[in-house]
Amino acid sequence: MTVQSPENDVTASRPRPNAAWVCGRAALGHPCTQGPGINGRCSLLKQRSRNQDQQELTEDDSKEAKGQECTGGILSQPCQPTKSAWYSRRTLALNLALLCTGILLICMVFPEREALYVPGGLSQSHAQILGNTLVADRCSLCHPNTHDLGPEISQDDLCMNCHSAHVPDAHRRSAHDLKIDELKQILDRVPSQLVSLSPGKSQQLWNQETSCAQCHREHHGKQHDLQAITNQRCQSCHKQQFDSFEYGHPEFKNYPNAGHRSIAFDHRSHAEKYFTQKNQSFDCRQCHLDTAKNGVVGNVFRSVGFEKACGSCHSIAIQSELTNGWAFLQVPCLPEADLTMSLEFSEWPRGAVFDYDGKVSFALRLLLSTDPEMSTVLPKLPRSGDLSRVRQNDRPLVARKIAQSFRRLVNEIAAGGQVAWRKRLEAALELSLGRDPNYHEQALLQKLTIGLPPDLFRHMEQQWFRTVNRITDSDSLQETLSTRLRHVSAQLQQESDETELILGSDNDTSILESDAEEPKLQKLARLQASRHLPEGGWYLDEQLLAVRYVAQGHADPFLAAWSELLHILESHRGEGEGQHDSHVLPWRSTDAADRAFVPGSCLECHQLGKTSGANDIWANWRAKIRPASVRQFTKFDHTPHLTVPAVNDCRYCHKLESLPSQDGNQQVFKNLLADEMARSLESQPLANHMVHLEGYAEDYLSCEFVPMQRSQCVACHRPDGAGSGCTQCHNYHVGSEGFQWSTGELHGVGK
Amino acid sequence: MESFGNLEWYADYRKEIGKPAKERISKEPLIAEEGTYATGLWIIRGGFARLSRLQGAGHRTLAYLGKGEIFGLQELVHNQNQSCNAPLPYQESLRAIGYVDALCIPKLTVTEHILPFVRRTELPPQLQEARYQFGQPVIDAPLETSEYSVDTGLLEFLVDRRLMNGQKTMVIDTERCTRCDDCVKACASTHGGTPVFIREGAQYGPWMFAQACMHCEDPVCMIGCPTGAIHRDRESGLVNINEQTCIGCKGCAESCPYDNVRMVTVTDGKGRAKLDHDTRLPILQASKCDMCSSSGGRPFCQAACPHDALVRIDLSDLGQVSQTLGKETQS
Amino acid sequence: MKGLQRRLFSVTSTVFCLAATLAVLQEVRHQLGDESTFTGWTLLASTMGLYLLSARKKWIRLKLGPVAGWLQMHMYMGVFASLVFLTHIGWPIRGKFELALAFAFVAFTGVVLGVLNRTTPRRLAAIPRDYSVDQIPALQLGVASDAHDVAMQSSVLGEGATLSEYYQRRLLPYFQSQRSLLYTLAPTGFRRRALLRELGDLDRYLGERGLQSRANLAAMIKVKDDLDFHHAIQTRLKILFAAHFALTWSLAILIAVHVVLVYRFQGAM
Repeated sequence: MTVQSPENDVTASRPRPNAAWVCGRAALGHPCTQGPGINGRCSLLKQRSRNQDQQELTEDDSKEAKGQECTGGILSQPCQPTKSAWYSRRTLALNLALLCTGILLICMVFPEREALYVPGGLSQSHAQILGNTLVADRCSLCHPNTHDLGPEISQDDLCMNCHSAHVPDAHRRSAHDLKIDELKQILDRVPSQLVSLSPGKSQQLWNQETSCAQCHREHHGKQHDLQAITNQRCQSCHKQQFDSFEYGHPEFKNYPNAGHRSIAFDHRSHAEKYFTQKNQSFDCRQCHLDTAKNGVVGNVFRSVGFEKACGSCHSIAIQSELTNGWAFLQVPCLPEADLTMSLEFSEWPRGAVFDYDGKVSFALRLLLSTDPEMSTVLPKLPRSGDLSRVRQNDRPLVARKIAQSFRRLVNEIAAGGQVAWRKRLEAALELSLGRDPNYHEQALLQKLTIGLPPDLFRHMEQQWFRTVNRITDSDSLQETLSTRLRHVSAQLQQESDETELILGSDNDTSILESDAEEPKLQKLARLQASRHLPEGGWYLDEQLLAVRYVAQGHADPFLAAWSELLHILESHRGEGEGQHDSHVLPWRSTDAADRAFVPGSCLECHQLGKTSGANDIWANWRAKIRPASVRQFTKFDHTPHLTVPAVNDCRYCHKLESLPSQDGNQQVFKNLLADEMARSLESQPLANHMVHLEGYAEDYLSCEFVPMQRSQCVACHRPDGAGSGCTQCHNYHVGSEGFQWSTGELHGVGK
Repeated sequence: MESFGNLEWYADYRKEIGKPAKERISKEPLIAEEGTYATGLWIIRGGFARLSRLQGAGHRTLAYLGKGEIFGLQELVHNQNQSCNAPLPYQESLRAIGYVDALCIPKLTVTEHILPFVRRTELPPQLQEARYQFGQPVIDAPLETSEYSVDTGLLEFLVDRRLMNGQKTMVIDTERCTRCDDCVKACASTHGGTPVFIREGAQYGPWMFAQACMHCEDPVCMIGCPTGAIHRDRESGLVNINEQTCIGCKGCAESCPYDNVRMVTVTDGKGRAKLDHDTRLPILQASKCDMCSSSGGRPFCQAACPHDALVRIDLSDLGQVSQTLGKETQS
Repeated sequence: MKGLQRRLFSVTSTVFCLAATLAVLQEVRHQLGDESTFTGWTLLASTMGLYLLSARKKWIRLKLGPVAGWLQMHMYMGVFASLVFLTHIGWPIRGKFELALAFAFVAFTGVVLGVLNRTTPRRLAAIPRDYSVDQIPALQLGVASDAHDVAMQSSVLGEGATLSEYYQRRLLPYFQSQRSLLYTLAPTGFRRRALLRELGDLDRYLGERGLQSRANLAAMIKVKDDLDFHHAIQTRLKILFAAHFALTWSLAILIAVHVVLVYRFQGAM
C-alpha cells in the first residue's frame, strides 16, 4: 500500500491552526502565504489600504505595490476569510451564552420573574392560599432570606405563622415536638430494641433540632403530598430496622388496648346471657356506632350514650330502684326517759320516741361533723351508724348528743335555708379534707344545694319539733311506729306497695265516714314517693320522720354530685391515711345502707376515678372520648374500615375472650402488667398526668377482648393494597397540650 | 573497512522512488551474498544495510542493520563448532541501503582470536535448520514467519521509504486518530503560531508516518548546510536548526528525503511576516520539528493527543518497532 | 498494558467515587439532612472537573500530563456527574428545567461524541488515503476537473459520445456538488456503487480507449466518494464536538444563577 508522496514544495505555507480566520481561498487549495489578520480581514485588503495611504506620500511605493498586485493575477484579489473550526465553535458558544444571559436578564424585568425562577409548583393547598397574594410577595411568605428579616427569623417561624393551630408545639423543633423530659421519659421506658438511636447520637437527641422542610418538601408540584414521608425517614432515628409492615414489624401485644374505661360493661355476659335471654342480636354498632359524629377513631365511640345504648333495658330498672327515694336525713329515735331530761326533747316528734334506735346516715354524719360537740360522739358510732349498735354504756349519751345536734341542724337549716345547708356541707368537707374545697368541689356543693326546698325544714321545725302532736290519737302513732319498725328491718322497699294499699284503704274509709256531706274535696293521703313524686325531688317522710330524696332516674344531678363527693372523700382518706386522723367519718362511706342505695347503683356501671390528664378529681360519668386535639403516636380511623365488607363485622378485629381464666393471652397480660407495675414503682413516679397506673392495671386485667394480630391488618395493609407506610398508622407530630404516653400504646414491648 | 553506495544517496532515492521494489533492491550494492562462502564477520559502522533473503524471484527483507550491528556471526560459530561437517554458507544477503560503511573481520581472525574468548551464552543460538547448505536445494520459507516479529510488509515499507533512519519518528495510529488536529494546534501554539510538522504522510496499514522531522540517525539534511545552522545536538542527539544562523538557502529542505523540512516566512510575535528590509519580500527560514527541545521533555504534540494516537518511536531499533507497531499490524 | 491499567484505574475510581457518594447520601438521608445540597455540591465539583479538560487543552504549555489522561478523566467524570445529576434532579423533574435540559444535552452529545471518537477513526482508516478536512474541497475540485477532462476527451477520441453523455447526465452532478446533509449525518456507499455499476454497464458500447477512460472515471468516482466520505465523517465529528461545546458556557452561567438562587431562597435547611 504505497501512496504517492505529494510534490515536494519546500516553500509551501504551513497551516496556521490557531488562527481564528482562514484564508477564503484555502478551500480551493490556494491559500495565501500570509493569511487573514486577527480581525478577520484579508491581509491583502489591509496591504492595499496601507498602500493607498502611502500612495499620497511616495509614488514609488505605490507603484511597487500595484505591480505586486498585478503579478498575482486573480489570487491577489482580496478574499473573504472564513472562520476556523475552533473559532466558529467558540463563537457559537459565546453567542449562546449571551443569548442565555439575555433571556435571564429579560426575565428579570418582568414582574412575574419569581414565577419564572420558581423551582416547581406549590402543593395544592399552599397554591390556593398564595394564589391571592401578589407574585412578588409570594416568595417572602415562606422564604426568610427574601426580605429584610433578621437572621433570627427562620423558615420554621414563617411556617408556624399559619400552622401553630394544629401543630402547636412544632415550634419546639424537637423530635416529635416533645419536651426534653418527655422524650427522656419515653426513651427510658422503651426497651432498647424498639428505639435505639445510632450510637453517639443518643445524647444529642434531646438537643437535635428538626425543621419543617426536612420532611415537608415544597415545590414538587400540585399533586405532591407534603405529608408523604418515606419509611426510611422514620428509620433514620428508629433503628429497629425492618422491611415493611408485613415483614418485620413488631407484633401487637395488646392492641387495641382497653385504655381507661369509665363504664363497666361486661360484653361477654351481655352477649351470652342478657341479649340471648331477650332474644336480641348482640350488635356492636348499636352501642358504638354513631354515623352522625366523627371522633378521633372515626364514627365509632366508646358509647353512644345511655339513652340509645342502655336505656331500653336499664332505664326502667333504675327508675324502679329509686322510686321510694333515699332517706337523706332521719330523725334519730330516743326513749321516753331521755326526752324528759331536756327541754329540747320535749318537742321531739312522737314517732321518734321509742328506744335508742335509728340509723345515723353518712349524710347526716357528714352534716353533724361540723358540730364541735360531735367530735367525741361520732367516733363512737359503729360503721353502720346504727344507734342500737353503740356500746351499752355510751348509748344514752351518744343518742342524746346526736339528737341535740340533729335538732340544731334542722333549726339552722330551717332558719338559714339553702345558705345554711351549703355552709354546713362546705364546713364538713373542709373538715374532712383539711383544706378549702376547690372549684370543682364547690361546683359539687352547688349541685347538692340546688333544689333543696327550705320549707321542708321549716315544716319539720314547725310540725315535728315545735307544734308537738303529743296528743294525737294513739292509732296513728301506733301506725307510725309500726311502719318505722318495719323500715328498720329494711323491708320497706319491697313492701311499700303493700303498705300503701293497706294504709290507703284505711284513709279512704275515714274520709267517707266523716266528710260525707262535704263537697268533693280529696282528703290528703300520706305523701308517697311513688305516687306523688314519680319525677323526683325532696319530700318529708312523715312515717319514718326522714327527709327523703327521690332521684330523677338515670343521670340524676344530685345523686351524681353526692356520689362524686363521696368518692372525693374516700380517695382523700386513702391518700392521707395515717397522717390526717379524721375519725369523724368512717373509712368506708359506702357501707351497706348507703351502697345499697346511692352510690352503689351508680357505681355498678360508672367507675369513678381520676380522669387522666387533669390534676383535679373529676368523675368519669361519661364514656371517655379522647379529644381530637390530643394526638397519639398511633392513629386509627374506623370509618373507612367499616365500609370494607370483609371487616364490616366488628368482630373481625374485636373478638371476645372465650374463657378468660384459661386463656394464655390473659396470663401474658397479667405478667406483663406485673412487670410494668414493678418497674414503675421502682423508678421515680411519673409525672402526674403521664400514666394512671392503677386504672390502667384494672383495665388491663379486665380486658375482655382477644388482642389483635398483625396478620389481620396485613391481610389488607400491604404496599400493593391498602398501603403500609409508617405514617398511615403513626403520627409524627404528637406534641400538644395533654399529650400522654403510655406503654399501652406500645405494641412491641417485651422480648 | 569498506564503503558501499553513495554518500549523497538521497538524490538517487528521489529519482528511484517510483521504480518497482525488485529493481531497486537489485541495484543496491551487495556487501555479502547468501549462499556464498562465509568469509568473515561484517560489522556496520555507518548507514543502514538490508538483510535480505531470496524469496522466489525477489528479495525479501528480513531486517535492516544499523550502526554497530554484525552479520555472519551465526554462520561462523556454526562452522567452528561443527567443523567435521560441511561449512555453512551465508544464510542471508547484506545490501547497502543508500550508503554503508562496514568493517570485515576475516574468518581466520574470528575463529582464532575472538570466538575462544567469548562465553558460549553470549553467542547467537545454534542454527537449527540451515536454509543454504552446499549441494542442497533451497526451500522458500513461508512469508509470515519472521525472526523479528515485524510484519515483512512493514519492514519492506520502512526500508523502501528509508524510514528506518528515523530516531524520533512521529507515528500516528489512524485507527485512533479522530483528526481533531489538537497535535497541530499544540505544536503551533508552542512554535509561534506555525506548526513545524504536517499531519500527513506515508501510511502503512493503520500507521501514518507524519511529516515531522525524524531526527535521523543519518541526517542527510545536515550535508551541505553553508552556515552549519542545522546541526546535531551533542547531548540529546536531536537535529536542530539555529534560527540565528539559518540564511534560508533551502539546502536542507531540498535534501531531506522525507520532505520534513519546510521553508516558512519568519513571523514576529503577532504572526505578521517579517519583510526583508531591502527587497520587502518575506524572509524565509527552514523550519522543522525540534522535539520541543527548548521546553525539554516530551513533545507537546504527543502530550496534546487526546486519544493516545500519536507516538514518537525510534524506527532504527527493530525491537521498538515490533513492540509498538508489530503486534497490531500482525493482528 | 498501560492503557488497560489506566482504564482499570479509571473504572475503579469512578465506581469507588459513586459508592462513596451513595454512602454519604445514605448517611445524609439518615441524618435527615438535605440531600439536594450534598448532591448539588458534588455535581458542581464534578462539573468543574469536566471543565478542566478545556482548560488543559487551552494551556497546553503547562506540563500537566498527557491530554489523553485528562480526556479519560473527563469521560469517567462525565459518567459520574450524569449519575449524580440524576439523583440531584430526581424524578419527575420539577420546575422550569432549562438547566437540566442544557446539562442533559451536553451529557448526551458527550456520550455520542465518546462513542464516535472510538468508532470513527476505524472507518476513516479503512479508506486507502487519509485526507485532511481542510484540503478536501480543493481535492474535490481537482477530481471534478480531472473527470471533466477525461469525459470530454473521450468524446473526441472517436468512439462515440456514450461516456461523455453519461458523464453529463449522471456524473457531472456527482462530481460538481456537495453531498446532502443526510449523507453527512450517515454516509453510505449506495451512490458510489450505483454509479460504478452503471458505468460498468456502458462497457459494451466502448472501445479500447473508451474502456481506459471508463476505468479512469471509475477510479475518480471512488476517489470522490472517498473524499466525500472523509468529509462527511470528519464534519459530523466536528459538528458534534461543536454541539458538545456550544452549551458549555451557557451551562456555566445557568449553574451560577442556579447556585445563587438556591442560596438566596434557601429554606430552613
